[in-house]
Amino acid sequence: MHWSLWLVLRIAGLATGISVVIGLWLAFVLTNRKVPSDYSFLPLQFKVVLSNAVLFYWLGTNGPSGAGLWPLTQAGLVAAGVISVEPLVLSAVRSAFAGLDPGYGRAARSLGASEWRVFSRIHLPLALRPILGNAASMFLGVIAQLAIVWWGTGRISK
Amino acid sequence: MTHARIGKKIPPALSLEVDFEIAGLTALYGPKGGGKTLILETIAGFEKPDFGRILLDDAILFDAEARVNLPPRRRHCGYVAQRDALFPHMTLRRNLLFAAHRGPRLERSRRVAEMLERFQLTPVAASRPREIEPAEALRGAVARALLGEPKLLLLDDRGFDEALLRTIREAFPGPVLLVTGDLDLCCAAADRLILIEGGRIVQSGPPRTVVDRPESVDAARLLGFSNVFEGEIAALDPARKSSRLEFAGFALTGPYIPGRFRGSRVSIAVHPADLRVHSGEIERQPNAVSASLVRVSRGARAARLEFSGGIFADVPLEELERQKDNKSWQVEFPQQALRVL
Repeated sequence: MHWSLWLVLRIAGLATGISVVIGLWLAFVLTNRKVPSDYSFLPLQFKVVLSNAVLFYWLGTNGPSGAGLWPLTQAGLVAAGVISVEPLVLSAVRSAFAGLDPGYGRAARSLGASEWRVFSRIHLPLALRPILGNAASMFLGVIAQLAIVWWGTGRISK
Repeated sequence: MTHARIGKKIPPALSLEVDFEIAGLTALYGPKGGGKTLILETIAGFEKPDFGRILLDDAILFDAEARVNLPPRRRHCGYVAQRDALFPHMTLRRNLLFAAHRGPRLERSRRVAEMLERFQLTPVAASRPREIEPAEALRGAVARALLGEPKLLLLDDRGFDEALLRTIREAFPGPVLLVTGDLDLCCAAADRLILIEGGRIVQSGPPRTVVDRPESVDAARLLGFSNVFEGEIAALDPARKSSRLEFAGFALTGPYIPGRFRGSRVSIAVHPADLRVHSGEIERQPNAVSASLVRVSRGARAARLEFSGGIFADVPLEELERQKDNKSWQVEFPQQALRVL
């Protein structure tokens, strides 16, 4: 697999994009169920466990080409990126929604709008700006993580 | 029938328990924190009562015993909240189109245009909510609520005036529940007035009747009857249709009080605007009490005079000007101004 700037950008972009979509979906599901938002930080712990495991396999004695837990493919890296940024994106999305005036949702519901319509027409457009701002910083975060792998591979082994 | 029986406890501040029918324009009047907005929110479905039953056109919206609790979107309640809730990312026209989402597209545009015209919003239809006047935003919120085809209109205290309420009732034949802190508006525009304090209904009825005839000390206080005295019936004269009432420090001639006996305790209320004040040096007026002036607070058109013994009188400023040199005072209680509670 060839490391190039384009590849890194593409992986980071895919990971961020997928995270945002999943984050929006989870936020939509969670706002309609009474799950305390405190728990959305829980998956953050997975990130530590997983990135350690990934780093061990990739940078361990087997080397990048060896049979690791995650094969070093684009899909694998995207998956790793999603796992690492998803919890942050989710909590950012949820706090963006929580910051909205509840009056808008109430007005829309009393006008007969379904939960999906309230979400897609009212909450999402109003919260889009903070969500996109957050996604941009997550994008840079994934690039930073990939950079470690990129520069690290082939240099540390031996 | 549109009827609400609602009980809800919000400790420690409020314990709401009300039971009333909504017909025509029904106004909820009372001090802040009395639960008026909470009543609207429970009817609209945003707050769940602990017990009770809410009927709209005989359809059950909420019934604690039968465990029915329709979501807000299925309640057909047009809701205009106290705070502006026009969607800020849409123009006024788009806001209205959001409400008129049922039916064919052409029909929707026609209904929206009609509503914009009716509420004089056509010139600002392409503006965002933050670019328009608060009064226009209020009319916009009402127009949007009406386009949702409600069966009941819930209006929270947002500075409604008589003209706007008239426009609303021309556009909407159904029942309207209005929360307001404006007693004059209740008398001018409402069919029924409900006095609410501390989560309870203090009194209800046609506005004129309620305002003229408070039935309890609480109702009198809510309606601005600052003079409430407790006393004893000293004499009753059915032939002259009068009574003699004795209070701490003074006695008055009052109306005949049917169903009460000599010696029983009674409270009377007098509105400060119904009292007359005179100089203490002139001849003693009928049903007058001498009192010393404690404080004068001047308003825009009238002044409120506070006398010893907790007597308050509202006097036009020009009348006060005429009597400003009085060394002593007497306060006249016209017999017809006395309300027996």
